[in-house]
Amino acid sequence: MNKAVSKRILQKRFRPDGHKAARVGGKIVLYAFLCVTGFVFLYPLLKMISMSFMSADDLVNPLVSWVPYGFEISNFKRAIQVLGYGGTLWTTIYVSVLPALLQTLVCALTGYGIARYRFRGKNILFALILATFIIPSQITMIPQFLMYRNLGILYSLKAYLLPAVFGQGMKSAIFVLIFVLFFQQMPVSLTEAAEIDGANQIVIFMKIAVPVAKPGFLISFLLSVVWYWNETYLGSLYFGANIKTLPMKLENFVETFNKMISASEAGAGVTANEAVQMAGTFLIMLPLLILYFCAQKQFIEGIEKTGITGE
Amino acid sequence: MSKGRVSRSTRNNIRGWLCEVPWLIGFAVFTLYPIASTLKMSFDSVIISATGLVTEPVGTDNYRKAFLGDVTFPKILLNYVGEIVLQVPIVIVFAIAVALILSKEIKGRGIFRTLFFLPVIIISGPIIDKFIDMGMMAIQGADTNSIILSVLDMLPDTAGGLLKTLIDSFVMTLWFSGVQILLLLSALQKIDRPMYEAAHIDGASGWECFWKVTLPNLRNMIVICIIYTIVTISTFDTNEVITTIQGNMFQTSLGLGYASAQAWIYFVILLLVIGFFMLLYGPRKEAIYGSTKAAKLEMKRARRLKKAQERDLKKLYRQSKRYRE
Repeated sequence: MNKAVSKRILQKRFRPDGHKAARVGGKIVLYAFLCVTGFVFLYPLLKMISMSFMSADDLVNPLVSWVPYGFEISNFKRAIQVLGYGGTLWTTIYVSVLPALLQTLVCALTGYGIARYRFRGKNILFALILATFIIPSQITMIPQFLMYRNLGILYSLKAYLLPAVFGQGMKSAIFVLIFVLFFQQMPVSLTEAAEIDGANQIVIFMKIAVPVAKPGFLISFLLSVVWYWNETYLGSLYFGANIKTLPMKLENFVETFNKMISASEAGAGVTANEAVQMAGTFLIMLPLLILYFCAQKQFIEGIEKTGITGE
Repeated sequence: MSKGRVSRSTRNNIRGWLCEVPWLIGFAVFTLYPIASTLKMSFDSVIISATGLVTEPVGTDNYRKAFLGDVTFPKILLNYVGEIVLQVPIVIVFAIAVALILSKEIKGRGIFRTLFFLPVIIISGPIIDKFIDMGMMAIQGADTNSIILSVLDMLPDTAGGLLKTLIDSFVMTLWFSGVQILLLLSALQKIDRPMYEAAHIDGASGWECFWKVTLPNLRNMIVICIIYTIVTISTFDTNEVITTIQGNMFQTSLGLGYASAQAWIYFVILLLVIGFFMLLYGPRKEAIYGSTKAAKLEMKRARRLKKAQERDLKKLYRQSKRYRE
């Protein structure tokens, strides 16, 4: 009772603008802002889902803006056919998971070295690693392209794997930074105790450092997968026509559609309309959406922890 | 004892560098060498032929061509600079606003956090392209609103064009703020509560608290967010500059040399953009405890004092020497 009263007094004191009406009004404004911006964020997605179910008639019908008259499943059937969904999905998964795995491990090692050992030139090296973040891939891609051609690994997944093994994968600097921040949290006394007990460096890394930095590993791996998944620019340069991931197939969705469907169903009035395109877009996004809703806690907490542990 | 410590530090040196070996090799092979090689190629004419690369030095021709001969490239660059100068403040202000709101006790915080981070996961070039094609990234009704249209008409051509692209891709601009919101949110949680309480007792309003307590405390994180925003937008797949560069790579009439020169120009401009924003709002070490200018002046004065003292001492010493002789 007493505590509650004093708490209320404290609240009054520290909130000079704490009139109830004003507070409620302020809250309403905040919620309105959040809802409006939230809707702005969701709008393209909702529109995409709604359009992907529309028939050709619904698209031009001015009365239909959100809910179509019927659910047109054929859009999805055609999109799956055009994208070669099953096979392409599998390709996309290994094109993004394998480099991500390698990149995470190498960045972990690099970050561990910087966080754990004191060695000469450490700060300069760390600054150099961070500085690589602002180097656009455009400036390195031409010599890299030629290099891969000479090595004979152009147009294969190795063109992604090789830089990843040497810590130069996509946005590596961020992952090294994440690992440095996480490994710095590891108490020194713990590793010292382990050393006195006769543990060697590898054991210390596996048994102490890795468990401490588990969220770091998770967020790095997840972000890395997502970024490799969504990359089409370098992918289309290094893979040519040999490897096509889902987002790359979306780029020339309409042409493929015209070749595949319109030819076989000529005269039936089947065109690559917006509904089919949106169905394709939805299908491409679906695996990432599923991944996000399964692992959203890891994503958000991982980034937040990175922010809290250091700047 | 002391011997053991020395060997320990050498051991640490060795172990530390061992951990960095893969990265160092990768940096030399996949970053440093390509950058130097691009620089060299930008002064050559390089053409891929059946037998291999045909290289021929041409001096600064490529650069001259990029600025004087090419009709579109300077325009694309200018557009890019204009866009990014507008987009970065939008992203940052939006991220700060959302982070501030989400740091309050609000119901459904988790849902909104999830929602604002969602674009980071699904954003990719082709998908954004499709959305822009369908007009889903535009501010609804802006293209039919007569006030906005008349304002666009009144502005000079380039500014009007910029504003139009901004309206067309406004949602996309906000979509780039996911990571920044989370980073700022965690930075906000790190600010000491007592600091706000002290400010309140001193009679500061919420508005003053924001400018005098919150913002200075967020400064370093905001700087990180600015750099992150610039780099992500600049290297995003749909960026017109980078698609142009890639397109030029495979045009035999222009060749790799010209594309390299363009890449270097783009890199320098990217650095200039970052430099510009750092001049506007750069990192500051003692942002919280007082201006650095005063601290610097103080240090300068101290150094001058010390020097003067040393000079006096020397003079005294010389005098005493002479006296002794």
